[in-house]
Amino acid sequence: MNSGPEQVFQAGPAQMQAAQQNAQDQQHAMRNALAQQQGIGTYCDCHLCQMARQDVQAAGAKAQALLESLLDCEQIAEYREQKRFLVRGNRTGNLYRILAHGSLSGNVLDLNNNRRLCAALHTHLGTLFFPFEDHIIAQFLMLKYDEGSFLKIAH
Amino acid sequence: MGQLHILDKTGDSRIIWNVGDTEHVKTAKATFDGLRAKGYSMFSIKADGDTGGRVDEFKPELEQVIAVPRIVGG
Repeated sequence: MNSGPEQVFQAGPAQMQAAQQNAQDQQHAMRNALAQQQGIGTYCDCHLCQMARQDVQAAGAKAQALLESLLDCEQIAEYREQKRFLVRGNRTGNLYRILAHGSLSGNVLDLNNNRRLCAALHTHLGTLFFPFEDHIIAQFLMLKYDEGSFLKIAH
Repeated sequence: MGQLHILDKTGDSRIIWNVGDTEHVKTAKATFDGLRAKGYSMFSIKADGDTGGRVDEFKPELEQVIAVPRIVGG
């Protein structure tokens, strides 16, 4: 019995369906990854979401390790306990508290002037996908070593 | 041995150079200059972790450099 052509005919739609499913999965995973980064969504249990979540978690852990390598003992202790820490500006000597949790909007507190400051990595550079801790590293380094530029940029 | 950390979506990417290796230094300098041209701010951190500052020019003897993309006000 020659079933070759029939098998080919049956494989076509199946492959197309698989390709469509794959494309939908990828769109789904990208949408969920974006939502997760923005704090407005969660990953589902599909394998692509699981892979995306693992990548994001690994990036966050790596960024956190780099951040902690830049902090002193007191800052590390406060960061680990309360997800925040103090940093002194190199130009004015003012004290700032960086809130390293939740939103980046106004997460830098200017304790000397009792105000909130907002500045984070440029999203047009694709930084939406940066780990949260990378934004904290940027804020910390700018305040500690280039406070003047930070204050010019921050709102 | 110097290390350049470039903040990115993986946390950071790293370029390591040996001061005595011309090719390493050349690659690190090219990366450094390329990032500067894109608007990155470069921060030098000493091995003691306590001293550092902003740097605009690559020097092989830098110990640790963090490349930070441009920040914007929210």
